[in-house]
Amino acid sequence: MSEIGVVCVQQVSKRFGDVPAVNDVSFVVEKGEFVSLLGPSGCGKSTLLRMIAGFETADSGSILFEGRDYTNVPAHLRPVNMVFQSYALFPHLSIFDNVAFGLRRKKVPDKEVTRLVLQFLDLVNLNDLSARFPSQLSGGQQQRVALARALVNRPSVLLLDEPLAALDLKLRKKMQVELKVLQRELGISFIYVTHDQEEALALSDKIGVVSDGRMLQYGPALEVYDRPRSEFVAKFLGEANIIQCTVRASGDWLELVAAGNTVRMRALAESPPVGAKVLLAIRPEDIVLSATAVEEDNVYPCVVENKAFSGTAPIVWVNVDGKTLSVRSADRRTFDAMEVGMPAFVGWRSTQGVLIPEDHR
Amino acid sequence: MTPEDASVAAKASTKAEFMVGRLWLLLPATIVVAIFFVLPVALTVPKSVFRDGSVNFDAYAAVLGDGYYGLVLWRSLWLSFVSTVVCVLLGYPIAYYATRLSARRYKRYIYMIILAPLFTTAVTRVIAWTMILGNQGIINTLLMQLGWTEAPVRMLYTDTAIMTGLVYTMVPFSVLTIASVLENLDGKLEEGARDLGATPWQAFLRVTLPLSAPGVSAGAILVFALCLSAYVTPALLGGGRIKVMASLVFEQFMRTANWPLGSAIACVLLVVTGFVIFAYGRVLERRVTLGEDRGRP
Repeated sequence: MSEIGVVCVQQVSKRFGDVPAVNDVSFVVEKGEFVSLLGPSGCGKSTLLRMIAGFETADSGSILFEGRDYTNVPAHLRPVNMVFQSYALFPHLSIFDNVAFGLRRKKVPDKEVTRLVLQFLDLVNLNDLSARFPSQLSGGQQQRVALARALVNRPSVLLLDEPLAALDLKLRKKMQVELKVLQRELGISFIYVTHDQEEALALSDKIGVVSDGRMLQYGPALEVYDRPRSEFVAKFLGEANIIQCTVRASGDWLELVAAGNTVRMRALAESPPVGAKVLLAIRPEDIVLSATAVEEDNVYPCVVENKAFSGTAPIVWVNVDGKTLSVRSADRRTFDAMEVGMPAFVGWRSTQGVLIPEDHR
Repeated sequence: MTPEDASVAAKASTKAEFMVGRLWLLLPATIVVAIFFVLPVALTVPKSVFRDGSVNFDAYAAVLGDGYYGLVLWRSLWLSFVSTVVCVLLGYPIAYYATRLSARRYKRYIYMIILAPLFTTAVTRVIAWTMILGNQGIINTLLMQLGWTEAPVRMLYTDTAIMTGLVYTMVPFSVLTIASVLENLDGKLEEGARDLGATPWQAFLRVTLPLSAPGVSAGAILVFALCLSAYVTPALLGGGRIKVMASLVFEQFMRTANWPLGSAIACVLLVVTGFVIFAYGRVLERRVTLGEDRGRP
């Protein structure tokens, strides 16, 4: 089963009129995995989710659940459930009846319906509100009802379309933790659509970055973060300084030239040939900043351009020979010592940074 | 009283004061309603009880004592009821189509087609129906040329003709009231139901239909009231032979100039209509949800 996965999306495409919404997307979700589809609004991630749910039909390609083809099966016959961004709770039904809706459609006996509904309301800490109506609940509570209503059906995969987008930051962080705990407890696979990269990183086992209807990269969350294969992924998942370089020497060590400066890198499995144009992506938190000298493999003098205090990781922008780099590593003392216009040094280790072929911008 | 209760009470009283202080803002609307809606009705009542300078209830005695008026009232209610049911049954699918299934850019044209009959006068529309239903009308000509009937089928000047005309004129009102409710319904709700295993038909019955009930009842009340007070359609399609309450009122006022009797008929009609609508509202309140109430803990 593990080769097929719980959900297998194979070369799926979908157009709306002349506009391609989803373009040749393939990925596999294994049992119990938390997968995020991450991308800017309008990138096609929601359309992809709606095709998995059965609300849109794919123009080509196929969608399999546990190895069985469901590409053209209508929504109500699919072993998946969805949590909508707007929750889509039925306003004319009580919380109990909302959660019971799916079970009753499956003709589960009344006694069993009551037991399961109460069990799942208990799971989301709402058992004492079962007689209320959706309009009487707060946003966070409605969110939990939506979760219970979907999960009570024991779907083989739960689809979530930006479920936390309507909540305020504090509640969102709290719900993130609850969601993750719930997912681990139940062992149900989640496919989670979001445009919030922090949320995707905090929750996911795997991340798929979607842009312009294409799946740019799909893999374990840390791998996608550490080894972005394109400029878009590097910039969308976390922050990245992108530096245009030319390869000067290739071997055990790579030597790159950017605006007259040399960058030394430890050689990779697939090193680009000498003379190749590449993009060096380096995370702001991987750069060390100091008013005096820095002990790193690559060190450059710079001028402080600007700084902003943003709480846990204050950010400083420095200029190295006309190129602005953002730096997040500064500890509080260094940050306070930095003044706009003053000279300083930045540097990073030869193991840090990722090379992206120039045509993968 | 706990401190919280006290503060709640204090808040409520300041709110009440706030409201009272601004009641005069309602004045313009109140005046308009009074002049255009309450006054004409209020004037009808004294008209029905004053005769030759004295108060008496002869007119009511005549209306309530004569079986003829009861018969006409019953026919008016029945014709209006059937027309209303047909209007809602026809109007709902049209409203659903206009709001849900049609592409956004076609919506405007669909509404224009629905409203088009209202741009012409009632008389033109009804006379068009006499040409369709008459003995030499389109349907009868067709039937006879096909050899299905020897003599023309009597369709004009029947109850069915009146109901056809009423439905034709009133359908736009039911469509528009139902559509306005459907338009504001979150389309995701139906998807939510489908996602939870409901077939498209079940999703409609369990979610969309109960949630659009307010539109249906508003449309039904509007159409029922309009049908009951319709004069032109029954007069032309009933050929003057089939009387309804509105035509009786017209006769008393314009032909026999018996104003007290006309007013009395109008008042009886008003009370009966009010009662029917009130009773209908009560019935509706009790069944807002469709059978989802089993298994409640």
